[in-house]
Amino acid sequence: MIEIKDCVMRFDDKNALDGISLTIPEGCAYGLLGSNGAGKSTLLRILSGIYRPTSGEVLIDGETVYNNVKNKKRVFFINDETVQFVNMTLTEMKNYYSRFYDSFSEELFEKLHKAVELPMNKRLSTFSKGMKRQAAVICGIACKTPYLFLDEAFDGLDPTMRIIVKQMLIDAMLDNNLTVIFSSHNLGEIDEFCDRVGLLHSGRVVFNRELDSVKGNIVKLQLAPEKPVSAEDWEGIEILHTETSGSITYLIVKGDRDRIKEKAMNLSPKLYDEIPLSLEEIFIYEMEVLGYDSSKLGE
Amino acid sequence: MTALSSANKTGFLNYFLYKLRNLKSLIILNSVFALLSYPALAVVGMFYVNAYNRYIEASQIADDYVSWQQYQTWNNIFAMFAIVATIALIGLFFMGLPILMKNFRYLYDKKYVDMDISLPVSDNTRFFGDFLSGLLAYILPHIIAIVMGIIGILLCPPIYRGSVLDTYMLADFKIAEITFMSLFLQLAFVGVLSCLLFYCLNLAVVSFCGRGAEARLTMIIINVALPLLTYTLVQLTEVYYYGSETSSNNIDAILTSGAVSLLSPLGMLASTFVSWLMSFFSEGFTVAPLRNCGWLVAIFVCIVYTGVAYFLMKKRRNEMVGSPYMFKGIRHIVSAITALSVFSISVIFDVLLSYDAHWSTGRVITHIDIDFVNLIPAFVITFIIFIVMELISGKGFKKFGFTLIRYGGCSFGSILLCYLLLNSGGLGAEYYVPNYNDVEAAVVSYSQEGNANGTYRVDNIKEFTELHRAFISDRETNHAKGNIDSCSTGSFGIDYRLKNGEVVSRGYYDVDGAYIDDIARLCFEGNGMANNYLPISDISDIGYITFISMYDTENREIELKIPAKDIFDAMYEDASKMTFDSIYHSSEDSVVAYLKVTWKNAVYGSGTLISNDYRGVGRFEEIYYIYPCFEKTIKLLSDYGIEIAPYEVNYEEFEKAIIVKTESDYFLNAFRVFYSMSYRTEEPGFDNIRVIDINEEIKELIENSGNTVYYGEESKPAYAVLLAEKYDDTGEWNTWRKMGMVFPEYTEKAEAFWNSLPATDKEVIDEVLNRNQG
Repeated sequence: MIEIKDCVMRFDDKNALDGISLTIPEGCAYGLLGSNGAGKSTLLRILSGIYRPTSGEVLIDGETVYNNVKNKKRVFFINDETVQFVNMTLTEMKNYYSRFYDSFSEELFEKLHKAVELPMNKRLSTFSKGMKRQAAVICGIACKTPYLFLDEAFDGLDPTMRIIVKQMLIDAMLDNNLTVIFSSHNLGEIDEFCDRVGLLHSGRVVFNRELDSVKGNIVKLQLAPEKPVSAEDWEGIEILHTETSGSITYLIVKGDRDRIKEKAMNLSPKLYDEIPLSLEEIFIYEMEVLGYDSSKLGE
Repeated sequence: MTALSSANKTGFLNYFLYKLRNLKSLIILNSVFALLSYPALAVVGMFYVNAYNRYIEASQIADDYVSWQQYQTWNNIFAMFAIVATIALIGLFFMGLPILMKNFRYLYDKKYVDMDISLPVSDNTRFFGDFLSGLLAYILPHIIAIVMGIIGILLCPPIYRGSVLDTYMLADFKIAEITFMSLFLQLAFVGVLSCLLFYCLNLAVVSFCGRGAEARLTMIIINVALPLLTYTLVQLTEVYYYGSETSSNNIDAILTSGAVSLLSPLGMLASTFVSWLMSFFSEGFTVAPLRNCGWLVAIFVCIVYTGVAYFLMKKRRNEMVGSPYMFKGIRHIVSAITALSVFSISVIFDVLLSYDAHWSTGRVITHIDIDFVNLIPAFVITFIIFIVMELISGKGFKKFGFTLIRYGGCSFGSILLCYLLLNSGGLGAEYYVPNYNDVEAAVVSYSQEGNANGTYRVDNIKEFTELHRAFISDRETNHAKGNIDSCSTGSFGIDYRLKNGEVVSRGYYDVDGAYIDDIARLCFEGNGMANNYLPISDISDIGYITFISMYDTENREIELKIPAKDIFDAMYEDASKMTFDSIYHSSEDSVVAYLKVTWKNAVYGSGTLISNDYRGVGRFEEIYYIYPCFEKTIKLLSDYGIEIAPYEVNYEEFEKAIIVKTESDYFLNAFRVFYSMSYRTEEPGFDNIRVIDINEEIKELIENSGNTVYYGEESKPAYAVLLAEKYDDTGEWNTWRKMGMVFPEYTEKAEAFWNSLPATDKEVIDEVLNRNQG
């Protein structure tokens, strides 16, 4: 289990992480969402033992990670860059990790390698971006660490390879009770793959819940009320977004489903429809509330 | 599965071996440099030295073209290898940088931070694994090459040493095999030590940098600034204060050349090179960094640098990699060091210029000022460096105002520090004179024409230290002691050997002549005269003694049959009765004869002679003067048939007298006066020489003149008198037979006599001075 308590990470005069607290259970596929500069990569690096938090506590299975060899052996981090490996061949990269991770499995590596069919003895500098990404992922999975952190891991992969890699991860999760933290801007993939998500913005946690709960919690309403809608009509329900087109009012609301329906019916709408939102839409509307939206383009 | 057990996978050895393998290409390159340097130099050097020794011997006997040709061939080969080896040694030395930068890339290159730091190894394993693997990759090829060089030397044919009948001249120039090996080992050891210092120092530098460009620039600055600063700060503190030439050993402990050679790799190499050049292939020579266990200090310094690096790495934050300077304070320190290095050199040059001007007037310097105009280049150079640092920082001149403030602060702070050091009196060393109870022995050397210049033991240390203190306190306020006879200046140096083994050394010039007199008197009080005059240590080693008369031209040199012990016992007893004043300022005690001692086994240069035939071999000789008051000695000589009598002038032997007038305020002796004046006869208006017939007035002046020095006084002329005779066979004039400076008490008479003389025609002067000879 990953526990993060009041973690602050300060760079110069700015807090990249501003007192975040999270708990990520074991065996979970956790999606880490956030705007650019929200602190996602910083958090992953803290969890990987690369950065030392300015204050607060970051524990994996009850122990810190930074400079803790025992815990570091249980963590594998794949960052969003691959340039550090460009002078290595895949063989050398494999040997690099197998040298330091007790749990590295040659068998698993071979099995994964067969699926991606990457050349073993060519320098990674000759690989495409996607191929480099594949190389990193199969090395990471082959290390068979209980925790795997991926920062934009699917970036550059073609659709087929995405499916393959996702399947590798799912198999690893099932076989080894792997806990994956997955940071991506591709919310569709997080939607497909993760069962729990957390949203960061400006170094703070906006929400941290089961994905179903997130989706269930926010809904888009299409209704044609008898009278214009006001805030008092929706007391106790958070309105994320309102849009009117003629007599039709579109509302993005967050709250208990039954209460939302009750409030809507109180308006005696001529038309009432609940439209499920994608994770991307949820992200956009949640961020809009926080002032992070595309309306700034027109300013 | 790897061969290593799972328990070792995160262990030190595993990490160390991995990093070492990672450096394979650099190790190979390092090895190539190493092989091209030490082994090549050692073997070729041996053949070169052989050819050199053979050539030296052959060149003394006859023109030996074959030996010369062989020597030239090996000289050219050696020169070629020396060039290649020098380049290889430079490459070998600087290989430390790419090795260091590759192993510690995560310190300054952001893209490697995730990869290297996320590995499951502890910080200690990472640091020491990277440090030791890099060090091994750097130093091991070096050591292997040195061992190969030693084997090469041992396998080479022995160095030719020459025949048994070698003259001492050749032994001095030949290079002994053991000397060659000793020097090779020393230079090799220093090479390894300097590489170690280079590696550790640059590791400390890179540990506080966050970017590659800044790391490289800071390495250059620190490596250049460190030896430069230690040297310049020592110079500023020690050299320019109050005319003192050397410093106390207490200051030396902090600011000596040891600081230059043991704190920085370039300083170590420079001091090694300079000290080797000064002694070349002398036997028993030790390069500067290895003296007094300096190598231990250097190793300690390496440990300190490594400790600093370790400490900084523990403190640094990985998220700051890519930002300029991990620790903000370090930037200010680097800026200050840069400014101080540049300004300290400029201040030294500035002081050198004004220093010469000060000393040319003979004034005592009370304080040293800095001329800001001469510092303009330093301001410009420092500004340029600050701009470069600003560019590399990547801040885009956003806070350039702060940079300007820092520049101004560092510049003026540096100037202030230099000024304070210049005028600190050697941080107080100027006023330090040891307590006489702490002094075991003292040796003084002084120099002033007319005094017995040389080095003497001081018997009365208490009085000498009091004199020394008085001298120091007088220097600021009192140019002269007021002794009218002592208006000239000289110099003296004193070495106090303390009971705790330390040596305190001081040297002064532009010293009032009266102090030199006092020092000289102290040297000769009691048995001082005898002890200093006759420092015979091993009479049994005397080969033979030659008696040489000053005036008896017919029996000029006689080999004495008197036992050495007898003659020197007599001389010691006679010398004990002499006083300082009895030697000088009087012609009655002028030297009448001297003994020339030739030693059996001359020890000099590079070795002891092995020849038993020391005649004509002895190079080491000592002269001991016999004065007219040496009654016992003269009697002993007389007992053995050698008569000595003071020289009495026979005026009938001489045809003319010359009187020379000089108005110099320098120390004078007749020879010098005559010699310098005789070349000025062509000057318009020159009228300082009179050639006259010998008369009673001249005879009186001759009899009241001395061979020793007379101190001239400003605005009061002095007179030299000489007698001249013609050589029988050539008809040319000889003016060197009898001359002297008229004593001060007879100066007025000499002046009156001079004024009574008409000017001498130039043709007559030229004739007597042999000027118009074909």
